[in-house]
Amino acid sequence: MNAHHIPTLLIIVPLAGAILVMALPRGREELLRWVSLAIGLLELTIAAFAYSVFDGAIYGPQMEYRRSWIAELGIEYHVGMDGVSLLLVVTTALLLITALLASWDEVQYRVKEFSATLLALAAAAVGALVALDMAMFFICTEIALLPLFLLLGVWGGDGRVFAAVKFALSNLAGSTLILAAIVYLGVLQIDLDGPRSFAFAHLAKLSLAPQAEFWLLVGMLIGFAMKAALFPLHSWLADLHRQANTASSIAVNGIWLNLGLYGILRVCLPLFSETVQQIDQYLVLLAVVATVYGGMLAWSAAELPRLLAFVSIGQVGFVTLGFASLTVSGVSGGVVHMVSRALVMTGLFVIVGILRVRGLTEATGLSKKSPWTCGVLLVFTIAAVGVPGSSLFVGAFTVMAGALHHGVWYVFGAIVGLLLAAASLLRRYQQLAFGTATGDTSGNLKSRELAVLVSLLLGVLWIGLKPQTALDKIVYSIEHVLVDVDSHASAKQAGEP
Amino acid sequence: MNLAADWSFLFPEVVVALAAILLFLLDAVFWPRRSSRSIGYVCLCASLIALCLELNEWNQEINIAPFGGMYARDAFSSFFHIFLLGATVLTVLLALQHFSDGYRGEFFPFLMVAILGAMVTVAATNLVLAFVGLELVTLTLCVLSAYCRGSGYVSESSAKFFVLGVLGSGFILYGGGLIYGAVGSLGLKELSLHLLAADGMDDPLLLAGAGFLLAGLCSKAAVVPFHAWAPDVRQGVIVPVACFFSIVPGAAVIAVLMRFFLYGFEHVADQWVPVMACLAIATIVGGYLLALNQRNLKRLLAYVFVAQVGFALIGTAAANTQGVVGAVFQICVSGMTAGGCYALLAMCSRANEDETEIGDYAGLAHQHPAIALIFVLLLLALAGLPPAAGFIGRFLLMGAVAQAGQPILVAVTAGVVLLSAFVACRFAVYIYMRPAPPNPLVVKITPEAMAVLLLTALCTLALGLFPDMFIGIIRSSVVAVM
Repeated sequence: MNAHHIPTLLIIVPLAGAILVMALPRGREELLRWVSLAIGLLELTIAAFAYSVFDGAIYGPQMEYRRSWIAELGIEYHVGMDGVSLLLVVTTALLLITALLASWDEVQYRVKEFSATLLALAAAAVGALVALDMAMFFICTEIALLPLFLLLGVWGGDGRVFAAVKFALSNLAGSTLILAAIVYLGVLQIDLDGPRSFAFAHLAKLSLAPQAEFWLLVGMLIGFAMKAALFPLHSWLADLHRQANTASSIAVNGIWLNLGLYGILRVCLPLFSETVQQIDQYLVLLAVVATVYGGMLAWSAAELPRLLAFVSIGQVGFVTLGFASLTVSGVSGGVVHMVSRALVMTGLFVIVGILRVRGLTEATGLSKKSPWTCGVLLVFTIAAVGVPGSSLFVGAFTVMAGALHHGVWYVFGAIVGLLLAAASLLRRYQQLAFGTATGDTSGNLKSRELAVLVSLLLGVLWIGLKPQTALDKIVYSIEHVLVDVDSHASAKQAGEP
Repeated sequence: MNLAADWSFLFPEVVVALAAILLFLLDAVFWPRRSSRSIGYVCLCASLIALCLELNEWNQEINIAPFGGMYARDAFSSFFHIFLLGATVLTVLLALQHFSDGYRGEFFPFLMVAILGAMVTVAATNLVLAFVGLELVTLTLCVLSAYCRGSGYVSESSAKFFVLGVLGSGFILYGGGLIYGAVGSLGLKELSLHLLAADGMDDPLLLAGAGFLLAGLCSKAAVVPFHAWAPDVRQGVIVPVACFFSIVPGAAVIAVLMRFFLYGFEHVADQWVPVMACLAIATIVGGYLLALNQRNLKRLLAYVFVAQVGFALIGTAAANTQGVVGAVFQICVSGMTAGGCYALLAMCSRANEDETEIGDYAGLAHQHPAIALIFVLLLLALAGLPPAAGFIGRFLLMGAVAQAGQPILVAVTAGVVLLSAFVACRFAVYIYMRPAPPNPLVVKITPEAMAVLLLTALCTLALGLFPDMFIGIIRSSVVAVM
């Protein structure tokens, strides 16, 4: 098989899986679950294969495949992977399996639709991650909205419909701006000579008027910030996590938020590099405020899902700080932080789901009756706090190193935000684990749940202890993303006496 | 001019006219006691034959102006004829589903007369002929809207449509009179030449005429603020007629607008483009705002399809090729979704379909997951989201208005997705996320309605994923009006 078909295969496998699952007979729930799990494992295997054949020493995207799709609009089917999309695709495949396994007990009705929706979501998300064409990227993210909307609205708590509609409309509002910006990118190319295309590589080379570039950047940034739940556009996330079940929480927190952040990295930085450099002080400030604000909200949150939502908002701010630093170190730290926060938060949401199924979310004194659950919760809490050894530590450290040149105070602010989030996580853990035991039922782990959590933990530890293997895959890709930034910067320096 | 040669280019129209006469005779004289279904099948065959003839004409790339230049036999009119005949096929199929038992069969010949009127309208290059065609549509639709006296709303519907239809005709006639006064002719070519000679000089008489013409046409197509009749009329009529109402008048009027404004009034474009842009914004935003809180399904769909006409107006207001392509694409998408939505309404409705409410669809996904999925696809098309065809239409239109330098229209076309998505979300919430009511809908799956549903859903998806060829067809068809 040619390597350039791997991204297409990664899209087709879950899509075909979704159709297959829909075709299976209703009522055979065990069969449905196993078939979807097998498809998820197949996806992960292909992703792992892609990881193994990916050469970290090559500059730019690999496994590229390009075909005309909607020629009338200049949209191409153009896929390929660079280091960042590779890491995120592997994460997405892992989270797909996690979501399937975590909802084994939790989702008891309409299992068929549930599995198919989850697989369709994975197909659309992977499609967006491997797309090298701006319009294709947009179309795939939009398609991903529908399965997410259904996941949130059909399976979940009592207020789920409101949360789902709020999620869909907020994100569509963001999409509106992105679509308008894409349309203008297409129209502005008519005046320039040369072919019309939405390929990222082509768009990055366009020389647009500074004012047009500024407004396009603002539109895209607001749009992606909405999808990533970046402060101040985060309000849909908190409602959602309180109502969503485990799989939807994983899908939104681990996959969807990362898609928004990936959009900032893939679109805003390389396409509008000149303008980004002009406004990056404001971006850094916004990111720091987001980190601190997320931490403060987390400190004031009582319920565990809400707390996790606010911790995520802080983490999204922190990743943005890495991106806004516009240094290779900061951006690669941001990517590592993005991947590891997805793994860690997924672990925490799985545990929340385990507690919810057993009716223990408001319990105290869990350490006596369910020591294993408590232990795993402790491990993930500590990982989320970002102690050395956890992948979040690597991300945080690299981001701060990259952002330092913007000013010590910004880094200090970000540290305060991280500490607040960490403190609120630990405080909540303390309430759950210690004190008088109130939960009636024993909440110990099943082997399936343990397997899920351990595999996530292995991912976290692997990046945490051997960060170089992951960084090796992405550094050249990030240099490629920042190539224009550097050239502008050096041009600026050369111009100044 | 050889009259016989002129007629020879009008095979499809002649077939439709003869079919109408034949069907009247069949119903009144030959098969008086037969059920209406047999007449319906004859009608279906006739429309399919006309469709094939029209495809043949489109393929031959004829471009002539028979009858002294009153009529245009070009790719543009052929394309619209194919579209209108396609809409007829969908309507006939829905009607076959509706008339499952002994109704009289006049419905079908009247339908053929209406479609003949629409065909004449889209091909007319003379205001008189366009007016005659539109009147033919309006008057037959008056009859059709009064057709089934099953429900209480039907007399209201018919009377309202008649009165407001006459008002619209009055506007068109008055506008035509003023234009004749200014130009001395009602032909499209003469109008264009006159304006070219006048070199963009503003003639108040002519502009007033254009204004009245625009108002009259908008009132026929239920463009906001001339839309008030649309929900009331479409609530009272039977489903196939409501489907016909949602597709045909809007398409015919947009075709006339394209011919007369983009070509005829081309030289005073800076005068009418802002007006049309305002009408488009009012129609899209107004239509969706009114649909937001609507519970009755027929009224809700009426408002949604009013808004769809606004998208086509946006393309016309862009006044460039891509705008026209986008507008025509949008008309096709809207026609297909109308067919699908009304087929769903025909299949899943209460015994008294006028009373079907959005809440009746609660829990549909439990009973009929496949139908629910198709419904969602149609809603995506209406909301303009991928992978359905509505997204491509919106993309084309936004590109067109961005090219034309009208950022407000770009913003409206982009932003209105929030309103349309809210409407779609309401449906999706009922279908997927609410438990079924105590007396759920009885879903009658009939082959005719199912055929319409599958056909339209498939086309919507195919045009959303692979629209290239279709856009190419439209592009080559609209050359005539640019």
